[in-house]
Amino acid sequence: MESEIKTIVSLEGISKKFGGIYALNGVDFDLRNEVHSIVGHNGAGKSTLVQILMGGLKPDAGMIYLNGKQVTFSSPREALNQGIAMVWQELDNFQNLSITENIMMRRFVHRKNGTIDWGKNHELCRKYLERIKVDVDPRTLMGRLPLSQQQLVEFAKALSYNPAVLILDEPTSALSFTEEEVLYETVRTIRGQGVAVVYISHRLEEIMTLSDRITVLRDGHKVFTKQMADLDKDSIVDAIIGSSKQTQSHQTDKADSTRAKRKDFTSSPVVVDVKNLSKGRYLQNISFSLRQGEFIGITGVFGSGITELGKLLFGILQDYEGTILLDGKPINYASPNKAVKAGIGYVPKNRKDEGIIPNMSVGDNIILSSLDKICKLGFIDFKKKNEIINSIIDTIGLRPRKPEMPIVALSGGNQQKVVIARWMSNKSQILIFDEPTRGVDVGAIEKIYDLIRLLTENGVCVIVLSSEIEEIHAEVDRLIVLNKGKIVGEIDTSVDPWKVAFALAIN
Amino acid sequence: MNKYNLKIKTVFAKFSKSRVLIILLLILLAFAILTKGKTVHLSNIMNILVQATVTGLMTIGMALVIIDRGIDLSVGGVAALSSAIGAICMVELKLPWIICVLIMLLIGILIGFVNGITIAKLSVPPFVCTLAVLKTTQGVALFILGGRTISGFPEVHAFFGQSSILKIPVSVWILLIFTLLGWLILRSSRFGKELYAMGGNPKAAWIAGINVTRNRVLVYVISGFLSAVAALIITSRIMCAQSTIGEGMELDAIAGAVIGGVSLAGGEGGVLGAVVGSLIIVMINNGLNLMAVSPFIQTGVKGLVIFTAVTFDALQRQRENRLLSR
Repeated sequence: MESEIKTIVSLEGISKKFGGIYALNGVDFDLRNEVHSIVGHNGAGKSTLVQILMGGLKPDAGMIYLNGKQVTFSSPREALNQGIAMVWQELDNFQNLSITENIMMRRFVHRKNGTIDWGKNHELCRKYLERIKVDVDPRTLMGRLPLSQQQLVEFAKALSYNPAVLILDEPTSALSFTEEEVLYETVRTIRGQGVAVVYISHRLEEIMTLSDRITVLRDGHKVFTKQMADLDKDSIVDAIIGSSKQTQSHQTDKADSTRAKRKDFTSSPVVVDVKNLSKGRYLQNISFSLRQGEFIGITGVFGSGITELGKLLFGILQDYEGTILLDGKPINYASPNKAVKAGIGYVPKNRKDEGIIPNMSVGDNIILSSLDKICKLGFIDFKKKNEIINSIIDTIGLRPRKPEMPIVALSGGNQQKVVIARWMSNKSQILIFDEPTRGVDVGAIEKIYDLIRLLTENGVCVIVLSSEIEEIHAEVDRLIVLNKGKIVGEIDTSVDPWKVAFALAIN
Repeated sequence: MNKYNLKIKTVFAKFSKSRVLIILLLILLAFAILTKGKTVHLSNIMNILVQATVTGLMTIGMALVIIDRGIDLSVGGVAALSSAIGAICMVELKLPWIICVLIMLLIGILIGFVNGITIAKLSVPPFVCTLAVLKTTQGVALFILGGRTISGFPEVHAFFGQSSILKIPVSVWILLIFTLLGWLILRSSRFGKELYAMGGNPKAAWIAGINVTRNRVLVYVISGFLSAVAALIITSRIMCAQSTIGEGMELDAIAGAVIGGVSLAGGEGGVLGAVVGSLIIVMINNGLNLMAVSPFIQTGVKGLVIFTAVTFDALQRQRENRLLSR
């Protein structure tokens, strides 16, 4: 057991800007042979810091010391060669290749004649998997494994490099209870062997059990680095949230205006009724209902199941247990096409891959889901099309007012407005937004919520799924909190501050 | 995103639209010089147009399929099978001519439907599916013909390939009508817009609520149908059915589409450009023939032209991407 404390990595004065905004501003971070957690809000700078550590990003300012010597990494491969390995939050592996090929890529064991000795490679991987108690044939294709096992394979792969530093980004978000326990045990074991573990997670409970020290980041700054033994849950949550004047006043203003506007929906008809909805390990026993004209938020951290809930309602995912009723009738859409016909609209999380049609103009992107409304016998009525598009462009405040503009010429925030605007001409009954302000600059966020609220004025039901807890709390009347697929609370936002929701989500 | 980048993108777009016509005229000029003027004789121009009708029809269908990020290698086989079955119906079974024509068209629609369903519902890659269908249809056609040529088509069948209306060959009229239809559909119909969306970002199009399955099946049905129309013209011209009908036409159709500005990446291009592209292909064939160039070299030249067109398309895409990702 390594009892001697030594500093393995030291980051000093690290700054990183993205397009004029500081993701990190003068952050110091030192890593010993310990389990060191990094916590913070979305956008606090956790990913940036860690990516600089593993060679994926170069800092604009500051220095990196490895075992006392200054180093610069020009690539993750270089960092890996120096003993820094990382397991990502979002899996990025070869789905069509076997576990062995994924783990041993670029370092296969060869026979003397140059060919790959598959037997030896499989045997090695079997051992790697055994180490973390995963009982799967290493010849299995990655794509066939459930997400949780893929995550574990990634973990085994990182371990197989015998790293001096292991970075884990939300490693348990997809894991079952037993798998989590195995992971914790492994982390403790390797810590005992002198490996430095950086652990990023939103789950307070696990961080508090596992870590020796914890660093809290907020808005690109370090709040503190302290021994876990000296801290309790509340002080950590306070540090993450902070008490910046801006945040507080914005929140109070919003809460005031929401309180003033708070309507009583108990007399409105129920439009969506979800009862005991379960889907695999994504969602468990979800029940809630949505009335006409309501604007609710469903929030949770990464891996809480909010995205899957949205996809189920819209027909992107199928097959579930329980009931989903739309106007009293059960629904299980085989494709988004059916959902749209039933009057549901959906703004996806990832507008670049799932939202915009990059080769089309702004106008065409807007009208895409409502073509049936402007067509006669299959042919487009251009006058009507332009009328509708122009009025929408005015409503969403897109300047310059040029519908022929290619959508890729717009900023991220404006592109998001266009995707949202797609449903304005469709007379949708229900709108679902998945992380509507992701990758949108601060100035445009307000406008996006204004847009969303505009849509609720016509009796449209809106569900916003967002992991930006503070942000969403200020916009909705009712906030449902998900944690690991279960509803852990429903917040009346005019009464409870968002801290309550946040605590529920990360517990 | 500043005005400068916007301007560049619009300039590129305009350039690529007229690019095809510029190339067409340049090639016409080149061959006019090389053949000492024989190319531009009225009779030769008519010749080119008539030959272009068959390739042109298949290219229109191919353009639609490629816009959807697909490919239809079976067009030649559909033409072969349609011709063979048409011959059986007309010559050996002596069914009423109109019925036979309808059967020939139905073959195209059916095979297109098979392609469409397999690709849209079973997610078989278009290349693989249509290649298999190509070989199957060619095989069946060969089997039906049994190695012989079936001639003795009823005289009325000469209408498609040998008659003229108002001094313009019927086949050219057919090409013009389908070009117009194709242009209208892509430009002004819901189906057309949805097709461009499906090609531009298949996932986003699906999430936006577009009925991707139905559209995809339809696009392959159209391609099959147009190949059958081409078969009508081919059999009408030679007044028989042979086992070599349709051979190699898929590559001509693809080449025409790509030269005409239809991007293999999907989501871009149009019918007009595609038809002009197929004209270019036919003109190259024609010009080389007039110059008495060996058929072996002709194949090589065609290949070179396709290679240049595809590379140019790719380079332009790279340039656009670099400009827009700043």
